[in-house]
Amino acid sequence: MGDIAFLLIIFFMLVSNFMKSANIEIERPRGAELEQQESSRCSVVIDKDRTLWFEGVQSTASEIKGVLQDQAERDHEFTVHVSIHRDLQKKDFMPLIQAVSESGAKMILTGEPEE
Amino acid sequence: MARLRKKKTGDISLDLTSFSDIANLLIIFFILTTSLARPFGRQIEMPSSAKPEEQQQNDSTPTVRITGDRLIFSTGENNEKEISMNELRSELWARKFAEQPKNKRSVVVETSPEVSYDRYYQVVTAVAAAGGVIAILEE
Repeated sequence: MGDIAFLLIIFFMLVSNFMKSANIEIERPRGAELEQQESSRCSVVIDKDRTLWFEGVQSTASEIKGVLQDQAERDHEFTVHVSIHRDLQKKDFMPLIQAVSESGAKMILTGEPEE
Repeated sequence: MARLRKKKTGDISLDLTSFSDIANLLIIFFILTTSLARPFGRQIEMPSSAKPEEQQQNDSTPTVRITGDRLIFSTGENNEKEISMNELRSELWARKFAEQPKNKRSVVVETSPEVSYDRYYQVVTAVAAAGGVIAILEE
């Protein structure tokens, strides 16, 4: 019984980690010269409703900039994956891109490879 | 005559409770060690506000203006032309940014408000793939 209880706890801890971004609806843009990247330690997403998500939690561009600045100061190779819904306009995505670039973290814009 | 004793056939039963523990441990092991799908993307270099002297921009800095469905490429006041994405890629690769010092790899990208991220993404990834550093023109 004790074994099963611990196993269930571990199982739900792992599953909740993977489900963090399951409810974020986003269609990534297509690009011709993309490379496969390593899985990210940090991700920022703007979904189709223009909601900004930082590691699965709603946030704002200024908050993200502050957090990324701290991380980039500690680790100069700190990389953040930025995923933005393809149909958003400049006023929706540009503040985030500027915030990430000003934080000093390395930025990877994710997308889908063109067929 | 010695009494023949019947051999008692004992209950042969396996205790299977440990099997379910092992099965769950194996599932957790493979969840942790499986490599997740790696995303596609491109690292974008932009001058950070902390180091503005990194990039030099002058009249001959390549500029890409994205408006609606048009791409306008210019390298000076009287030297601008409308081009396609493939022509833009050729122009960028022809500049051999990878062989230039970092302070001469700027490409200015101007975007109209109505431009979608999909269009912007194609241009910035083309610039990044050619080794350029993207400078955003602030209005």
